[in-house]
Amino acid sequence: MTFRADIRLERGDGFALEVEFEIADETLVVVGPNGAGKSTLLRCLAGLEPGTVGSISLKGERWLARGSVLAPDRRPIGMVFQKDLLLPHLNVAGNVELGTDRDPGLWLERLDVAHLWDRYPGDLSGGERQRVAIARAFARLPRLMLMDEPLSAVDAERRPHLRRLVKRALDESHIPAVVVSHDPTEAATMGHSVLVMEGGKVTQRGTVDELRSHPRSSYVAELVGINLYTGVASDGSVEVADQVLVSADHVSGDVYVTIHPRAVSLHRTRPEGSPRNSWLGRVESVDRSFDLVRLDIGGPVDVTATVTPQGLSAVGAAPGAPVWVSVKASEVRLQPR
Amino acid sequence: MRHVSRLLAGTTLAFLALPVIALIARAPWSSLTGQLETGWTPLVLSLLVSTAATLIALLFGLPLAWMLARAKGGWVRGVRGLLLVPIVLPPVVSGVALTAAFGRRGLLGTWLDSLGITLSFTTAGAIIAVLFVSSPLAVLAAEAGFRQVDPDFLDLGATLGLSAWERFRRIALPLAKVPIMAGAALTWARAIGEFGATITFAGNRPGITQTLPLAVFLGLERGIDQAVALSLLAVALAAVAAALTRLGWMSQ
Repeated sequence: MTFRADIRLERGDGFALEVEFEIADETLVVVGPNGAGKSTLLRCLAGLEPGTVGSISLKGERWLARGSVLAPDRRPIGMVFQKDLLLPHLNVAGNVELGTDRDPGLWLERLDVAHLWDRYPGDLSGGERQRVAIARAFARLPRLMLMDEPLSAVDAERRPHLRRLVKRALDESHIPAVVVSHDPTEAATMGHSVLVMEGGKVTQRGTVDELRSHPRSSYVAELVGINLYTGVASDGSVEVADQVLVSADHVSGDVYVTIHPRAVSLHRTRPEGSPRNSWLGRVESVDRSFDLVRLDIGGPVDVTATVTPQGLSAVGAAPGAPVWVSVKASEVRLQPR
Repeated sequence: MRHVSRLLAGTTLAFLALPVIALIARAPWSSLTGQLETGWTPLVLSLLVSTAATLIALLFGLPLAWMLARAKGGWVRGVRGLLLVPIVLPPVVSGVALTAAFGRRGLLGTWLDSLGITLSFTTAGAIIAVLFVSSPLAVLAAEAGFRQVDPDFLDLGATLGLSAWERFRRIALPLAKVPIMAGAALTWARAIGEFGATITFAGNRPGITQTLPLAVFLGLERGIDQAVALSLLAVALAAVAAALTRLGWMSQ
């Protein structure tokens, strides 16, 4: 394994972080509810939290061990913060050059912002600023990349494009990377595996498929219960498998389609009225492990639904039983691939 | 009520403006050039002493301001209190204190004397006197400026491989530039006006320690015309100082 961390941190406010993981030259996506300690974990790995104890090593180089700490400015890392943190007195090129003597042009080009090289941060849009911040982190050719919600400052339309750019940059760099995210689509598409943090601790680690089949907390069940498909959209409708779904998102072309499991309604009989997306499916499994009931339903479109126990008894669904599925057009979310 | 407040406001303005107007009205315009001849040396000395003191205040004061801004702990309050002492102390007392410290028989002065270094009654002494009373302004303004710098920028600098010194020079200093410059302008303005500490510690030696305010005071003995003429120079200088200070605040 390229990068190993086994760290603990106790903060003055009573919050305690305890995380252990190792990764090869791959991207680990860290997900978790607000306040789980995801950003703090990145700061610990970067060396920015002085109270961190335990061990951190990259390819056998010890960054943290009993009695020795490598200062953050000596660690070969690239870090993208939630805020873009562009220095207002330096232009785009100057900001990138802050961390390296190399020509900033290459990485600005790779993030599609080379034409902005002589502009000042005040003249850039939020998305442009974030691209420059990402280029700056890559430009010093780090051997570990740390990213804290790198796409959150970018508006929804431009996010998929930037996600592809970042994913390609990470893949081509062949370095271990830890990326904090709250977006399940990001978790599913950017990383090789997912680390789930809750309350400062790791509650689960695995691929998205592993998390989906064996969620170990209701948070994970909800997160990976998201129905994620690929499809081809044309202005208001999208073809998934052989089913045409109606969507309120007007996007065309190759898309990711997401349907939140809470948005899936189940019925005994064919639903009447507004829902235009409805089909007859068959209950494949019923999982009551948490406060919600999770049902996997096979059909023209395989879908996962979460309902309350009361909701389940109203439908009366048991494994093998037929059930009508409906989803509102506004709940069929499309994102360009 | 409105009339009363207008009257009070008008009185305040008149009170502040009248002496300056009187100075200009009272100026011996016919013999001005002759009267001013004695003023050039003190003027140049004032500029030299104030500028030197401002630069030294920045050089030594910025690291202190940086430490104060970054420090956590009760000692910061103590140090900040200490910085207020020269500001609130009567300048003459500052002069006496400086004599006690750096004078020929002073605490440190004796030792300096044995090394052949004399501060009292020298230009260096005039700079020391001005520095003592004005440098806290530079430190306090810079500290306030450094406090406004988002610490995340410094963390970012660390993750970019910048050393502590480089983070100070390339991130903190530029981000706090405006308050630092405003503080420098205030320091310079205070230095230009310094009288009490200078005359007490450095004396009133023409060409060596006699800055413009001291020359005005001495000019009074030769007659009001001389004093008023020199005062006009001081007014011009004060206008420059005020403009600099305002420029500093306005760009904020």
